[in-house]
Amino acid sequence: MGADIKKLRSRIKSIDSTLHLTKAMGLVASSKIRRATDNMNKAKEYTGSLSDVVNMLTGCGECAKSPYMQKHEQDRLCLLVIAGDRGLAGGYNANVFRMEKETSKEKIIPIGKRACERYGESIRLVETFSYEQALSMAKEICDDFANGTFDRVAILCTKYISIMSQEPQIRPILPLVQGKQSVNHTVLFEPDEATILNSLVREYVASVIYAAVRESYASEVAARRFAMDSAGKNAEEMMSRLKLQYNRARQGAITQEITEIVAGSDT
Amino acid sequence: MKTFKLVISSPNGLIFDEDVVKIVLRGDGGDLAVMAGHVPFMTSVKPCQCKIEMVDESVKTAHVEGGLLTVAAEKTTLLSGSFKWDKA
Repeated sequence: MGADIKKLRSRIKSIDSTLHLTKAMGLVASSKIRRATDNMNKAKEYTGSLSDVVNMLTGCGECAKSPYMQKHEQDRLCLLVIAGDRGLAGGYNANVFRMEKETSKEKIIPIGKRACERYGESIRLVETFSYEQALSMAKEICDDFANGTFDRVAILCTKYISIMSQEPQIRPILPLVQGKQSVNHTVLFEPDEATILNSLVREYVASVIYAAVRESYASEVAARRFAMDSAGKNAEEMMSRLKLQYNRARQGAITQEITEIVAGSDT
Repeated sequence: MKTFKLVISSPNGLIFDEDVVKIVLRGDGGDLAVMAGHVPFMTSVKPCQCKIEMVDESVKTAHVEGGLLTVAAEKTTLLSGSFKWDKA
């Protein structure tokens, strides 16, 4: 009986510390979530403005000759994989890696500590990922695509649907798809549409990478908050069950002791 | 003095949104200035020092590594991920 009580007490203590940990991590995630979604929306707005222009430019006949619009015969895919910096975010990282496994690719460029560790590359953190980093990656990717090293470039990131739901998805980046919007002929292009498109592609690719990183980070934080909330609830449930067991065992021990004392005094 | 609305946007949000007199920067075809009433126009921006003449005649300067300048009737937009104000 005494051993049982001791065991229960140590389990309660361990679950209590887990509860504290999940609460603290949940609070940290809650405080980060607003800034993360703000940054995501800003990056999305910028990318939206640039992709409107790129859609318009790709719709013009001259731009069809751009090296960034050429479809290659082979299908060698360069895949940028964005995972989280840390674990304890439910199925966030596992979902990304599962989708990556199901996709055939030639090369992987990881972003996020978990992804970099998995693919054995130097660490690039998602939380502190800057636009300058995105731009230098974009330059490399665009050059490789134009040289024919890859035939397609895509990004595997996590779409932020709401605070409760996020889903991994693959977004194609290169080659650029012909836009449906026609070029506005009242606008003067300096020097011409094709030159503007070719100089803009790196900036566009960088902005797509940056926006995907910001969106994935917001998804990671939201997933962590949700995971910590449910872990906290489970820990609380377990605590109340264990406390009940502990009190019963303690009560049983006291009753037994009293019974033994009474029995001893009677004899 | 005639003015026009200038919006400068970056991936980290809006940098500038005010009425100005003139903006000078380097486009694909060389240095250019945009003033009120400019024809609708689009060019990619080359690395340069960008000068913005404000309504109070002061001049703000910044460094740009690249981007896109779009001039439309209602506003002029500079989209750049590398726009940095010079220290005063």
